[in-house]
Amino acid sequence: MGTILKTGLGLWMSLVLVGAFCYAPTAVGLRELSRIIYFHVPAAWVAVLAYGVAMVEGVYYLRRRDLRFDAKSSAAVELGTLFALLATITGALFARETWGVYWNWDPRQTTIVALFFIYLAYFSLRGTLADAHRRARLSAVYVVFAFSVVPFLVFILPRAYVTLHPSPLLNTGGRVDMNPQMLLVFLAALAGFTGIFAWMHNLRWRAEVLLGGDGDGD
Amino acid sequence: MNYSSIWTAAVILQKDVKTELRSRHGVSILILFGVTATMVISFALGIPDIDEAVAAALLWIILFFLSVAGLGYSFLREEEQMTMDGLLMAASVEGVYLGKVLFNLMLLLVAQGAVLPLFILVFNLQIGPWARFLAAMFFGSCGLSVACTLVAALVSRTGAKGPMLAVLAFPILFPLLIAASADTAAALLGAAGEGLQVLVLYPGVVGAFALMLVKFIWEE
Repeated sequence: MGTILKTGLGLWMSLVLVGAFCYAPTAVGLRELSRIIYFHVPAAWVAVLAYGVAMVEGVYYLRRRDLRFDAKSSAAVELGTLFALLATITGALFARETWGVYWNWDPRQTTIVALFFIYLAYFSLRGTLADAHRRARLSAVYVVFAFSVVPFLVFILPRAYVTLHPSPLLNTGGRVDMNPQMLLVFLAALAGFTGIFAWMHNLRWRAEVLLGGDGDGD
Repeated sequence: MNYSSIWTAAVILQKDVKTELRSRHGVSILILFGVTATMVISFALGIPDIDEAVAAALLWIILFFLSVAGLGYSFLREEEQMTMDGLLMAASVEGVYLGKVLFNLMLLLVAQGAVLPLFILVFNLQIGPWARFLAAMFFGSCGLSVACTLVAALVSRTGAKGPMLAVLAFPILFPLLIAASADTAAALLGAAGEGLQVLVLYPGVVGAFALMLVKFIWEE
């Protein structure tokens, strides 16, 4: 079963790569640059999804006190950091080519940086705690507490400032501004990245459980 | 969270104020920090007239560091004197948290009473509508206190000292600091701003999360 899933994911992502560069047409005005959406947007989506997973597993830990939930939570934060970095770098490259600068504190850049800071703070907190259960409990409290800023970052700040960022797929108008071929490749990339995240997350949290605690082998 | 928690909060506040009046340790650190930071910035810039947006940003940077430098004591002192267990036996943890939030807010407001006049003086600021400026200061301070108090409670349980509070509080305070400096700049310019609703909502939302989570911090 696992082998079929893994092979399937490999084939799926290969098709996404071919589709992104050969099948999907380019957007008017952006030309070849528009192909970045098949990689940048899914990376940003996974960075946010990872935070959601970390938070939900944190809540589970606080309810059940099982260290496996802590391993799932911290593994999600690790992967979230990686994908937030990828989204930030690809986004900055796109910004440089289209807006002329790598960084201009666009609301979406601000949001991904805030997320990145939450992830980094989470690791500093874990680093100071030796006892596995106390570390799990306080990390879970922090990751859930950080969720309280999400409504401000996602809903309030981006509306208070002017943005140059292309409108997101799920925009307020509820309409999709993409031709069917682009949309197909885009949705396939989203699904593929989500699958890669699920696989990496599964490997990582089980490894942490085997290593005992935080993956530092003690 | 019920009426007894609010009563507890009032008693904790009274206790902390009484302790503070004996030593004046916390409030003097906050004031000195704010005054030092203001003077250093003023000296480094060398000019009295700076852009309103820059002044507002500098003011909130000072207030951020002042909070993370000074508000950590609230729980650290209880842990060091080993009085936290006693407090938790006598009162609900939510009540203790609320009391500390009120005390920290009071510390921040007292410190601002000393720092703001100096800041306005050295940077030669013309305040537009005073009510808007003071409202931004007040609600921004509520947000600082609500968020820093919970993070201070977390940090007091780690054994880490120093910059830990700043590292952990910064991501939480990020939207508050953006909104507060934007709104303060608007108040300085006398322009219509729209940040105040964020400043009013923030302590409510973050405080609700804090009240939900604070019981897990001391639970072994």
